[in-house]
Amino acid sequence: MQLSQRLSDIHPDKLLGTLQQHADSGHEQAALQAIPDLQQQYPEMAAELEQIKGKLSDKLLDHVKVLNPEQAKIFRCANCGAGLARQHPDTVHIICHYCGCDAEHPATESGLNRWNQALDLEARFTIGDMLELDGERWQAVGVQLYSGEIREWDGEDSTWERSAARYTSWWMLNENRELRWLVDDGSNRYWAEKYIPDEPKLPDPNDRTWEHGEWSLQFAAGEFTYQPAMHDRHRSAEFGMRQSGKGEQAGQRFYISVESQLDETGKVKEVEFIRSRPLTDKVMLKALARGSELGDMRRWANTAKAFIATLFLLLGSYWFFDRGDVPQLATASLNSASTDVPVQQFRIEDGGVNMKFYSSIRTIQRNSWFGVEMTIEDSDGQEIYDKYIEFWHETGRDADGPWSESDLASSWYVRFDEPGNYQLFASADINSTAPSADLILKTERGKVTVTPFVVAGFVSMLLMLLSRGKSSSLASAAASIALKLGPRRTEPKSARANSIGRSSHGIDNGSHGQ
Amino acid sequence: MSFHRSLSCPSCGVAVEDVTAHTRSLQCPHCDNWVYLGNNGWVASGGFEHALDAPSILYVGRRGAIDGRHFTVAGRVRLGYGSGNWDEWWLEFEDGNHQWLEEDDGSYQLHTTIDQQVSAATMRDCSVGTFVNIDGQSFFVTEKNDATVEGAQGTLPMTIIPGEAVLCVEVVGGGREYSLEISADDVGMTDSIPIDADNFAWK
Repeated sequence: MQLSQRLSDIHPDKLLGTLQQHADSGHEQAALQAIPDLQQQYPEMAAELEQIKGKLSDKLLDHVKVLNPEQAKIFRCANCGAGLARQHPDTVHIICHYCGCDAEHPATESGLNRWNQALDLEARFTIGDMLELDGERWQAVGVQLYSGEIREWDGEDSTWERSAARYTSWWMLNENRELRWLVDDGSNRYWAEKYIPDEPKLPDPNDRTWEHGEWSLQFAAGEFTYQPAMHDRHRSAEFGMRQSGKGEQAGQRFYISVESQLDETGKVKEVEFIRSRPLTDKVMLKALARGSELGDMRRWANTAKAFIATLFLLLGSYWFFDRGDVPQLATASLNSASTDVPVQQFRIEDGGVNMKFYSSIRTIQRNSWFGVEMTIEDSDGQEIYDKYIEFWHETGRDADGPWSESDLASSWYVRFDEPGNYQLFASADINSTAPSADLILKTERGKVTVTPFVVAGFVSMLLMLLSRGKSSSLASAAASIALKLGPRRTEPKSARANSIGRSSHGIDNGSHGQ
Repeated sequence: MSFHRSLSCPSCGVAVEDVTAHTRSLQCPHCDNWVYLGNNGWVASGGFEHALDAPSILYVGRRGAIDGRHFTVAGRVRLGYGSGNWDEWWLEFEDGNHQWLEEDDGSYQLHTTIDQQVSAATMRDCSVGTFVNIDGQSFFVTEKNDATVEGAQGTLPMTIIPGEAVLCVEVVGGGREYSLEISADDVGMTDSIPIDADNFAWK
């Protein structure tokens, strides 16, 4: 979030002090960037803010980051005085990333409106930042934000699926004055460069194998080899494929895109063929030399591995402890008047043994139920356990047609703490609507319940997610370099205070921020 | 063997050395006026409106090599179109050959003139995003601009007049890119070979 937005509602008495605090704590760039907006919001403090602006501009002029000082021209913005650099020989237009104006022509002369200033100079990636990729050093010298619509064919519904989208394109320059583009769609990043295709063509807008896009420029800052204009339009057609052949990049996914720049009338004025490859968070953080975040990612990867190992361990333990003994089968024919029918007798040699009981009935009449009370007694005839089970069958009809459901089986565990002889009895529920049932009982000693293992797995997952919450938020914040375009408030505070009922976001200064 | 002679600057009269047989335009090292070879001899045309002080790894007089071929940067032309511009650097190779090196939008391309029968009218009529037939072969048009000469430096093999207009068309075919420059009825076509800047070796 930009500093000017954070300071927009501060009491005027505290404004200068707070701004100075930000500057003194190392956020000089963000403080300088905030001043043009603050001067509009607090016109009564314009002179004091101008003084701070002058001091910050002088201080920052010596700290303009460039690839090679011998091949860069450092100069002051014609409108706000901030230190800027021209590093590319074909640069024709520089938009000041502090004030959003044409940096080489006073706004009054060029007649250009100030751009909607979306760039956050406190962000973890911004203009002037460097990254090292494939052994080459690149610097972000410009940035654009496009918004528009993506259209792709939905084979299941046989229709074009449309969705609103936006992406950020960073202009990256290396020491050889070559350009590449770092594209961020908000969730993924791509490294893009122009290429010459073997079979060039403009994809048919109805070609279902491509993803089609219509884009409009919303924001630009930095240096460009052309003159960007608000709402510059272009179309794109893109499809993904995997690198064929052998070698390091074989099998890697990449994207081919055909971009058509449009003129004011919608006619194609230039066609560019772009090839881009995705950059993973890991590659991105390595390129940005963000060691701590990389460490976080490594820790997260280790945590995930530990979690998977824990799952396997739990599964193995369950399998080991749940091996059980030879199952014993017993059957009993019951009718609704049956009481205390002996079903199975068994002996427990050692205390603390778990036994699994699995009961079922073979068949049951349609739309009926049969209740059974199971009791276990010790050798003294003392009841130590009882369980009521209801077997049932139901049918019906709804909007989807006829249905039938049944529940003809049930299982449970009993732990026997004392050794001895035990007997299981079954009694039918006298109210059962089914007249009779053939009960099958399977018992298996040495079995264990799965519940503690599930709980342990769930706790492990919870711990892993808590760990991810900390590490991945850092990592993704570092790796995410997309711009978020917000509304720009240009109305003076005093005017806003008098305009009850108007939008708190004020007037859009001719630009269409969202 | 190269041919060298001197000329007297038509503007300030100073003797300009190292004028080669290929030189048709140059910047007077004394008065900075742009001088070109017209129908009636050398003519001074004043200066260019735009400064060429933007940083580049190339500059007039710089010596280097591409793939082992040694060259000297002899001159530079800056061409501008509606919303942008690009530079063309005239390289004199030690093997006696000359080639244009284009620096545009963060990429370098070495141009080799090719002998193709191209109609100026065809190129004027073609549209971006469509195919154009050149000497029986189909090419896809990627760019078409009315460019003007915005600046020049050093010595150049052609008559360069400040503000002179030229139609530039970029086409792609068979995995290669070609540049065409159309002036009146003349069409020059070159094969544009991308050069990775890591392949430059500087002296």
